[in-house]
Order: sequence, then C-alpha cells, then structure tokens
Amino acid sequence: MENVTKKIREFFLAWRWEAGGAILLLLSVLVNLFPEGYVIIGADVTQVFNLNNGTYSQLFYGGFGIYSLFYLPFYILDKIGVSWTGQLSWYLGLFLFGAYFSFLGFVRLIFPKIRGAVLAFGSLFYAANIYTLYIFTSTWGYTHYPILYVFIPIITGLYVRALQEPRKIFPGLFLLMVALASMSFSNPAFALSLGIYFVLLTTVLFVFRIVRFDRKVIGVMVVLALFAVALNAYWMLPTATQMSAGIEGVASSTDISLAESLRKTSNTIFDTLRMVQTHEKDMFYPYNFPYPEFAWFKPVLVALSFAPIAAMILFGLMFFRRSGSEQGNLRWYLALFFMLAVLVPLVARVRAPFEFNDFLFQLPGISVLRGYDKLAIYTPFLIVTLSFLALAAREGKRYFRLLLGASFLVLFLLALPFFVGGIQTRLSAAFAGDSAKDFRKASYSSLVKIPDGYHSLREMLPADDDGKVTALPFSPASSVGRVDLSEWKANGPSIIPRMLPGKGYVEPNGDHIPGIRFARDYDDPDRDPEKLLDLYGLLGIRYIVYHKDVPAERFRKAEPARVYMEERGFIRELSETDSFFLYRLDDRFVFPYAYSGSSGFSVGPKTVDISEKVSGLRESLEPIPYAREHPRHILLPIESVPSGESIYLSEKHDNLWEAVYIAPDGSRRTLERNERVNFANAWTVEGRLSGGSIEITHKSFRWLVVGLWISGATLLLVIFFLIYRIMKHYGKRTRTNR
Amino acid sequence: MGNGRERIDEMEVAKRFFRERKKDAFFLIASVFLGVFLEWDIVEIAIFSLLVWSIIGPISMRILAAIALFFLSIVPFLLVLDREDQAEQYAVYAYYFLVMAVIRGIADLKTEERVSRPE
Repeated sequence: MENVTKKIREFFLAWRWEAGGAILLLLSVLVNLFPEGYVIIGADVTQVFNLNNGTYSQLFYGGFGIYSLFYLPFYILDKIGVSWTGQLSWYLGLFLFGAYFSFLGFVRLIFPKIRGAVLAFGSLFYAANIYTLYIFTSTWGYTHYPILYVFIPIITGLYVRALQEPRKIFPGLFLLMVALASMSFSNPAFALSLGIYFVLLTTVLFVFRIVRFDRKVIGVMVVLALFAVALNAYWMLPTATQMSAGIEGVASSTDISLAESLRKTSNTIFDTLRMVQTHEKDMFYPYNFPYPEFAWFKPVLVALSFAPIAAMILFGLMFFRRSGSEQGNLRWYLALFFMLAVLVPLVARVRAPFEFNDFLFQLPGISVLRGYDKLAIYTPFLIVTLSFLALAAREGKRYFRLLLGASFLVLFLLALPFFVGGIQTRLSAAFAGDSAKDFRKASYSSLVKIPDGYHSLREMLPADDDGKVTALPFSPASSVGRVDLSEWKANGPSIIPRMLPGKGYVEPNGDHIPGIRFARDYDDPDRDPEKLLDLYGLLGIRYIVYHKDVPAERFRKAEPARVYMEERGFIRELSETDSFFLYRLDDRFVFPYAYSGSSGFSVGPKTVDISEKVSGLRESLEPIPYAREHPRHILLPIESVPSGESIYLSEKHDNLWEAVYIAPDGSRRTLERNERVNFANAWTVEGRLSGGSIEITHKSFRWLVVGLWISGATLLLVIFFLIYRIMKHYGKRTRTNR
Repeated sequence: MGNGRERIDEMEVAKRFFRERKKDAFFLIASVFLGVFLEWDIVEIAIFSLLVWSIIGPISMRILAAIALFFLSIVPFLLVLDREDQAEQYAVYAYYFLVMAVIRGIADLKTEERVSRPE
C-alpha cells in the first residue's frame, strides 16, 4: 500500500505541471456551474434532454445513428439521474478535458522531449482560447457539433507516428481514435473538411521529410484510409443514400444563396490569425466584453489577441537557430506555417485578395464548406502548436521564465471567462447587445428555465395515440425553425419535441411540406382558420400546444382566431397551464397514420382550395391498421385496395420511404411512389391488392444496418490488432528481461 | 569628385548585376510587367517583385518574417482606432510576407539537404 502511494506521489511530482493544468480546467468547470433548473435553448440549438425517456431512441432513428455515439455518455448521465443543468457542465468538462489531453497526447507522440510547464501551457491554450470560448458562449458547445475540435491533435499525432512506425501500435491507435472521432461527422461537411486537412497534412509530411516518401508508407496510408472509411460506414452509407435522393438537410441548406453565404461568413485575415469570427465578432469575447465595470480593458484585450501570432513569428521564424533541438523542430515550424498559409485564404473565403475562392467554393461538394467552422476549426490547432513550439525553443534562455509567465498571463486574459466564471450567465451571444450582461436581466438568453407546464405536457396526452402535435400561434423568431417565446426569454427551436420524445411533431416554422412554411404562407388573420385546421388534419396533427408565452402582440393578434376555433368546436381544450393551452383537434379533421384513398394532390403555399381538396380525399379514405416494428419500419396488413388508389403514410415527405407489397403467396413487388403527393408519402396501387401486407421501410435505415455491420466488424479487427501488438510487445519485454 | 565616383560605382554595380545575373534580372523585370498587365497597384507590384526576389535572391527568412511582424504589429493600433479596412490591408501585407518567409525557409531547408547529402 505504501509502495502504491509512493508511486502515485512520484507520478504526480513528475507530472505536476500537466496535472496542474488539468486541475485548473476542473476549477474552470466548477466556477462556471450553471444555475440549477436552467437549460440551453438558443440560435439553432435546443439542449438534448429526456435522453432516458425516449429522446436517445428518437435520435437514433431520426438521425440514422449518426448522433448516437456522441450522446451515449449523456444518455448514461440521464439514466443515473444527473439533472439537465448538471449535464451542461459535462458538455463543458468533456470538451475542455478532451481538448487538453488530446493536445497533450499529440505533443507526447511528436515532441516527447517537451514537458513540464511548456506542455501544460500548450495543452491549456488549446483547451481554453478565444475560439473555444466562442463555442461555449454561443450554443454550439452544448451539442455534438464542434466535437471534432477535441480529436484534431490526437489523430494528427497518431497519424504521423503510424506513418513513421507502422510496425508498432500506432496504426491501431489511430484507427481506434478515428472510430471515436466519427461522432464528429453528424454534419458530413466536417468529414469533407477533415479529408482536406489530411491531404494537406500528408503533403507537408512528405515535402518537409517528416515522413519518408516510399512505397511502404504509401501502402500504410492506403490501408489506413480504407479502414477509416470502413469505420465510418455506419453513417456514410445512410448519408450517401440521402444525398443521392437530394435530401436538403444533409447539406444544411437554407434559403440563403451560396454567394451571399460566402460573403457573410468570409473572415478577415487579422481575425483568422487570432481565432476570431469576423461576421459575428460583436457577439463574442473579447468584443462582447462581459465586465462593463472594466470597459477600459477591452482595447487591451483586442490588442493582446495578436500576441500568439506575433510570438510565433518572432520566436518561430526570426529567432530560430539552425542547430541543436530547434533544427529538428524547424521542419515542423515550416510545415505548420505552410498549412496555416493555405488555410487562411480558405477561411477568408471571397474576401480580397482571395476573390478567386468564389470559383473554388462553387465546385461540386465544396459548397458544403461554406460555414465558418468547417475550416476555421483547424486554425486553433495550428496557431497553438506554433506558439507552443516557439515557446519551447526558448527554454534554457535567460528570459525564458519571464516569457513563460507572460505566455500564461496572455492565455489567462484571452480566455478570462473560463477562469473567473460567467459563461452564459454574463457572457452569451444571446444578449451581446445588452448593457447589463446578466442572463436574468436580458430580454433573451440562451440559458432559460422551462416553465413547469411543459414538464407535465407528456402526462396530458394519451400514451398510445399516434396523432401528431404542433404549436400555435405562429411566432417565428430570428431564423427558420426558431420560435420566439419571449415570456421566458427563449429564441430557438421548439422544446416540444424534447418534452414529447417519440411523438410526431410538425414544426410550424419549418419545412414539413417542401417549399411551404406554415407561418409564412398560412398565417393570415383574414383567412378562415378552418383552412389551416384542414391542412393540419391532413398531416395527422391531433394536438395543438397553443402558447401563451409568445410576444403579447402576437398572442393578441391571433386571439380572435383561437376563440373562433374553440366556439365552433374545431378545437377542444384538454388542459391549460400558465404557459399554454393544450387543444385537441376535432376528429373530423384528423387523417389516420396509414390509409388508402384517391390519388391525392399537392399542397402549395396559399393553396386557396385546400379545404375542398382535403374534403375530397377524406371522403375516399379507408384507414389501414399498422404495426410499427420501429419508427423506420412499418407493416400494413391489407384486406383489399382497388387499383388506381394510393396508399398513404403520414410521415414527412421523403423519397427514401419505400413500400413493398407482399402478396399472400409470398411474392414481393415494389410500389411506385405517387409523386403528386407532397404532404405525406404515397404509393400508387396498380392492380387490385387482395390480402397480404405492405412493408414500408426507410432506405437510409437499411443502409444504416449494413453500415453498422461493416463498421462493427472493422472495429473488432482493429481491437484484435491492438491486443496482438500489446501482447507481442510485452512478450518481447519479458524475453529481454530474462 | 566624390559624388561622381559614387555614381560610377552604382552604375558598375548595376551593370555587373545584369551581366552576372541575367536570368534573375529577367524574372524581376517580368514580375513588374506582369503586375502592370494585371493592373495591380504599385504596392502590390513591389510585394510581388519582392516575392520573386526572395525565391531567386538572398533575402533571408528572418528579414521577411521581420517585415511580416512589422505590418502585423500595426494592425492592433488600427483596430483600436476603428480603421478596419486599413487594418485588413496591413494584415494582407503581413500575410504576403509570412508566405514569403515560409517559402524562403523551405528553399533554405532544401538547399541544406542537398549540401549535406553524401556524394
């Protein structure tokens, strides 16, 4: 026991600086604890909660497995009872610690002689800087979106070592890390940008002779690439299916044109070199300065943000020595500078003098990289590594301690809110324009408390009812898909899907029917509300959450329509809370989940005869009972469906839903889609169907299953390889010791 | 008399340059004409010529890095004075010189490798 204690003590003494850095990050998480009862809702993000109550399953089927790996730890946290607020600290902690140890691992692999204070500085700087502060003071940090940042250093280090020493354990470790990093590709554009990063990295490794360019190394690269693709097959195959079907969500397209998007997200050079995002600069630190009582300090911080790039030019290029340990690092200096020089124009986009990028970003596939983060996510790693190497090169000089102290001071000041607290409570993009800098006093905040009524929404609805839910009145916020609930300061996606996992939800300001936004196209106070309810019933909506917490003016404007609908018996109140009414649509409006009927029609913006069309279809419909194996696989037993009719499934229109008729004799026939119908998924019946069943599946889900088998088998191979290598290594050591 | 001698020396230097380094002089002049043809302003032509010269001539990486640092050091002051367009212009110049320094560094590295490679 004494021996163990001694060993632990020796370990921490030997690694005291690195341990100190980790403890500092732990303090950072503790000092930024979020107020109990609050969650994150803002911009395009609603915190993922209720994971243990159906949200995790919903993410799996809805996202085709792409989010499951990232949210697994949070599912476990939810299961063991960690509150939703507590989980926010886990987002912060996992990211900061992940980034810290990832950079530490990279340095241990590539620059093993650099230890102690310098190593702690580099790792801390990578974890806590202006860019990571931007991530956590917007709402992205509380999602899967930026997690690739954590993996960049470690997979870079393992990749280089795998190419340098392929006979050791590094290829296996690299592939294991790639498997973990696959959680980063929920937005496939990050996969493309990582591919570009690796092409650039490989080029500089060869050009600067950090890795030898020979056939063996090329062979290792090819094998690693193939295995990496196989490990990512579980999300690549369903995504490829969706891309080939032209599904918009994959490329995260919006109404904004590419040219406008490129202009909007283009970054100035001086902002790129200090990890600042130009077009929303005022919303983030240091321009959004959370300590108004020290307003004089803001210009100092703005100037100080150039310190890292200045230091790395001064000490990395100007003062290097062509001898000693610096000579070995010179190749890395130049390689990393070269990579930075290539990335800067790509992050700058179409800003002068890089207008030629307009051509580049129009190339097929490259346009998905229009988001700032897709390429800017790599610049902190390059800048931090260069700064770190520049500092390491000064070790032994007389002024080194002074320089080290100054470096830590700059790090501390440039990421001040991490160390003194205030993330989302004092510093948030949501209230950047407010002078008060306090989430409790701001008009809107990303940190919000969900009113009690929403917590009991699930109990208000029957458990076995397949009717969908939507929300009224229309209260579109700053962008598509966002709702303005000013009463509790929320401006972001609706929380209803989170409170009702597994229940179908129709977004009032989204694109449930392609080309239509209900709020934009049907929010007309002069129009008969019955038309909207006909449309809602057509979509299978049975319940309406009627918000009282929208801006007062919106509520007042919509009030006559609500009273009218209630008085006419179109909607019946089920429940009322301080925050909303819960209404049930009269059954005469509501279409079943699965049914057969006449050949259908298309719904467009402001379809004036919507009620007549719906009425016509309603008269012909016959409900079909169904069995749902899981949300992407539904079985409809058939009695008799005449030729010329259509089979309908009340899911969001998606070309990847496929229906196969299984006749009583076992023969199978794929039914042809009815392309006229855009409000559901419909298939035309050619030749009477008597008996048998119809199997409806989503093609992406089928490919997910295939992908899971491929990725799973590859992962097993990688694990066996690692075990083999470890056993071989220890076997050799034992023989050597004898 | 002294000034006359200096003028003769300068001319001698220039003549020797064009005699001994015909190819380098050609590239330099070509870079100026290219800049004129592409309608660049005088600063851009000067920087481009300097880029060409840094590849073919002996401008050390440190000098190029120092110039980059010089331009970069002005940027924070311009930002504090709210002159963003000018700050961006200087940042672009700093970027150009940073690129030149890296190219020079690569060229030096390759030269050293060639020299140190055993026959």
